[in-house]
Amino acid sequence: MIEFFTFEFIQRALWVGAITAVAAALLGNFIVVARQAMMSDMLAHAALAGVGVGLLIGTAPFYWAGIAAIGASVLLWFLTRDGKRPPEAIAMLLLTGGLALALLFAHIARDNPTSLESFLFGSLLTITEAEVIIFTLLCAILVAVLLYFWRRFLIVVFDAQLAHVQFRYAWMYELLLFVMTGLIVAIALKVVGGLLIGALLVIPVVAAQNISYSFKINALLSVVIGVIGVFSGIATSFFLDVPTSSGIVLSLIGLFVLTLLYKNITR
Amino acid sequence: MTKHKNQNVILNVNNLCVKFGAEVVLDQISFEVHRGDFVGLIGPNGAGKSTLVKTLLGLIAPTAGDYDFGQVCMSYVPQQYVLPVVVPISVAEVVSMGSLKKISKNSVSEILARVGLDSSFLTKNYHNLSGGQKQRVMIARALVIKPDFIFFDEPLSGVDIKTKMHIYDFLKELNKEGVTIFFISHDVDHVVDVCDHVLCLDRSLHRGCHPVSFAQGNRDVAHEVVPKNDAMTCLVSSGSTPQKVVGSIHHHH
Repeated sequence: MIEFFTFEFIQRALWVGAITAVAAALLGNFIVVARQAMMSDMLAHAALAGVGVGLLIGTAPFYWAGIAAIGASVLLWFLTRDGKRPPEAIAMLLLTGGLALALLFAHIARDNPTSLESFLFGSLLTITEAEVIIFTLLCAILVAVLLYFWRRFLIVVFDAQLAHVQFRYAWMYELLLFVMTGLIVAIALKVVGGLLIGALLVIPVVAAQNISYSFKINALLSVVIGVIGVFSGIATSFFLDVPTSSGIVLSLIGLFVLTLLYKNITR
Repeated sequence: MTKHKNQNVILNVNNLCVKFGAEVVLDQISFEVHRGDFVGLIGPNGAGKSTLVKTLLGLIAPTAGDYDFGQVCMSYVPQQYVLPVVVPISVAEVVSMGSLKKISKNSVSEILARVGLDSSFLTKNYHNLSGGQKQRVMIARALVIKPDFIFFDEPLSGVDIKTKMHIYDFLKELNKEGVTIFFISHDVDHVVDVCDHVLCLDRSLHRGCHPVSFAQGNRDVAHEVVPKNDAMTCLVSSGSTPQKVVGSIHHHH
C-alpha cells in the first residue's frame, strides 16, 4: 500500500486529480443550479475538435482543446443568452459539430502517434511535470475567481432577475461561468477524458445534495466527495488494473449511492 | 392617526412604450409615485403588469418614453418559487442574496424576525418551506439593504389567506415607517383594500380610454377595468367616484 504513494506518476495523478476535483466540484454547484449540467459534455466534444487541430498541425493538443472549449462556451452563451433558442438544442448542435470536426481532423492526422482516444477517456497516469504546473495554476485561478465572486455567482444562478437589478454587468458573471466551465473541461480532458467529464462537475454536486441543507455546505461536501472519488478511482485503477477514468467515475457514482442511502435511512 | 406623507415624487413614468417586435405591450404609460405611497397595480393576465415592472427594474429597455427614480434605494420581491430547486440553499443564504456586501448572522436573524420567522429558520433549506414562509423569506431578502422603495411583483399568488393577511399587515407597517410600496397583483379585492392608490393596466383600455387611477376602497371602478371573467373573484361593493387621483395610467391610441 505504501508503495502506491512512492511512485512519482501516482503522486502527480493524485495531485492533479485532487485539484481538478476541487475546482470542478465548486464550479459544478453553480453549473447545476444554472441548469447547464449538459454544457460540460458539449464543451468536451468541442474541446475534442481542438485536440484534432492540435494533432493536425502537430502542436500540443491541450492548448487547442482549451481554446476550442472556451470558444464554444462563449458561442453557447451568446446563442442562448436571450432565451429565444433552446439551450439543449444549441448544445447538441455544438456537441455533434465538435465531434464531427474532431473525427475529421484526427482522420487527416492519422499518422500522428498521439491518439484521439487518449483524450476521449483521459490519461491521468501519464501526466507530465509541465502539465502539473499548468493545471495547478489554472485550477488555482479558477477557485480564486469562484471564491472572490461567490455571492455574485450565487445570485446570478439562483435569481438572474435579481442579479440584473442588483449589479451592472450581471451578464459578465454568466459569461464568466461559461468560460470557466470551458477551462475546467479542457483540464479534465486529461483526468477523465472528454466522454466522462460531466462526472467530475455534476456527480459530486448531486451526491452532496442528498446530505446538505445549504449551498455552502453543498459546495464543501461536493469538494470532499470529488476528491475522495478521484483518489479511490486512481487507487482502484492501480490495484485492480482498470482504466483510471472508469475507476474515478464509478467511485463517484458509488459515493452518490452511499449519500442517497444515508438520506433515505436518516429521513 | 393620519399617516404622514412626503409628497416628493419618487418615481416619474413618462409616456413609456414597450414593443416586442410589432406587438405593442405598453403604450404611452404615464404616472407618478410619491414618497411614502402604497400603490397597487392591478390588471388581468397579459395586461403588461410584469412588463411594466421589468421595464422599471431596468430588465427591459423601453421603446420610447422614459422613467426616473428620485434618490431612492430600491429593492424588489419577485413572484413565488423563482429559485431553482436543484441544489439546497439555506434561508440565511437566500436572505443574504439581497445585498452584495457580507451580512452578519445577527442582522439576518433580525430581518427574519421582522417578517415573523425565528432564528431556527436560518439553517433550514429554503426549498422545504411552505409557500407563505418562502414569501416571507423573499420579503426579508428585499429588506436587507434597508430600501425606501420596494416593488412587489405578484408576490402572494398561491399563498393561503391567513398568511396573505399577515403579509399585508406587515406591508402596511413597513409603509407607515416610510417605505414606498409598489404592489403588483391581480387580486383586486385585497389591493383595493390595502393600497392607498390603485393603478390599473388593462387590455380593454387599448380600445376605450379611461382614467384608471382610483383611490382606496373604490371597488367598482376596479371591477370596471378588471373583468370578472378573467379568472378573478371580486366582491363588488357600492362605489363612489375616485376621491383622490394621485397618478394615472393612460393608454393613448
